[in-house]
Amino acid sequence: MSAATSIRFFERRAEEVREFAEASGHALSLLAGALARLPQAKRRSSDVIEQMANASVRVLHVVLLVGAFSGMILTLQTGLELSRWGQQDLIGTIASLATVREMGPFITATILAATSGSALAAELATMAVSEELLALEVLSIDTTAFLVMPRVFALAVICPLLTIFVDAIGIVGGALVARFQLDVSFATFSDRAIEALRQTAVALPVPKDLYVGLFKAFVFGLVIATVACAAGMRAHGGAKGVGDATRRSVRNSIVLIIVFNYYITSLFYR
Amino acid sequence: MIRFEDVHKSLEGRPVLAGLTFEVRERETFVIMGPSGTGKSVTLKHIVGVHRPDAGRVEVDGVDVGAADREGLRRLRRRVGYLFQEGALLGWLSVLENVELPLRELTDLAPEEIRRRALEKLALVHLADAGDRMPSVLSGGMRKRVSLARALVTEPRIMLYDEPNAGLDPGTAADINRLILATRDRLGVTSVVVTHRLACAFTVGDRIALLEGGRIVAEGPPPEFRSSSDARVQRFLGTGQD
Repeated sequence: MSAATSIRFFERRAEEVREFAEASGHALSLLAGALARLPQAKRRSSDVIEQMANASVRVLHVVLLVGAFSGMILTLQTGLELSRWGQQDLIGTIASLATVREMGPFITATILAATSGSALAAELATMAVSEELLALEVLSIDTTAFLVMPRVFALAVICPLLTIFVDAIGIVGGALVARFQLDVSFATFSDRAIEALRQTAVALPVPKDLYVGLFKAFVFGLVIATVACAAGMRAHGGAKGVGDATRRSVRNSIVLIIVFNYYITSLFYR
Repeated sequence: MIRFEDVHKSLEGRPVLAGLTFEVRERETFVIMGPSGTGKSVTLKHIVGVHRPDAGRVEVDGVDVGAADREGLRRLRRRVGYLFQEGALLGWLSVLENVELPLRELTDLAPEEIRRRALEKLALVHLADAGDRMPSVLSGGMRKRVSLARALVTEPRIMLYDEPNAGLDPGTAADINRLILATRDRLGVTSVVVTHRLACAFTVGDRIALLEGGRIVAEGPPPEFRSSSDARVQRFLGTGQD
């Protein structure tokens, strides 16, 4: 590799690092700006409700379907192993804990990132490349209050709500598989599940696993909306820019969901 | 009203404005012509502080745009209307909602008053009965007229037009030119029009300037501009679109 090629290589890497730092700073400032404008949520309630409807009604059937099958797969895989040791009655404990702690929030967030997050990024990116964002800026309209806050608020609320549905249907799916594939009765499954969730109740009057899972979903909702808004609003370069922003939004959201998942788990369970 | 003094600006390492100097007087319509990529739109964006000069000074209605803080820019922008090339209407709002938007977001006016003012401006651009339509079903000319109504609803002192005739057939372009003149006459605004259409420039302009290489190379009232002996002007007039 010649010296000139090496210099170009490092220049490109330096440029990538600079762009990453700029994009991260932009996303963090958007999040801070959206949180600071939360008092305006009441005045913008119609926008917030519309965003909530977009993020929930249109994806509810998908998260329910994926949630049910994920609970069934988890129960079947784990249950078959437990059956080899005659421990299949424990499946209610494992399925409920795994669903409420991990699978519910993670599956919901991943689907939201791929559906609502990508749609949101594409919408804002289209506005960016067609000068609509510039028009709002020139009109002195606060784009963070007008566009970002309602979307961040909506996803931060909707992600935990959808997670409750996914938790419930995942456990129900697991109970059906336990009953018909593993020969574990509904009563045994539900007794184990309730016992597992009740055992972990500590500070709040709700099971710790449930509120930690919902807290994760809340953080994931903030992450998805912020990343999507940031990616969309920084888009440039026509249709290709819209595609790039959408891809960046989904990729960064999923990476951050996994990273935050680890740290929240570590914070509450270590 | 608007003064550029030796303004330099580079974008992505490429010099766009290189010593741009001009002045627009109150209630005047100043037209900036020039080939694509010579910095016409960048010039407009300096007026509203979207771009700030690397060197030189931009003064608009007594405000030093390069030195203005966020609040100063906000106050300045409320005195400026901006017609974007493609209209830049929000696709999920109806025509009427688009026009109402600046008043809803920036004022405490009662909803009935906001509606009255928006309808008044829609009538001004001959679209009083199009309020319920969505931007996606409008023609290019109608989108520009709605965008003009939105720009005028805050009753600006300065109007900026970015390629108001771009993409329009000659008849629709002439309608837009008439609206620019009517806006000046009825509302007494100071206007800067960026265009490469000769018909637009010679119809609406009180003075016309040719921008080349990031600076004004010729300027004057339409008759003087047309008869200029400057080779660059004659070359541009020879290749410009009617």
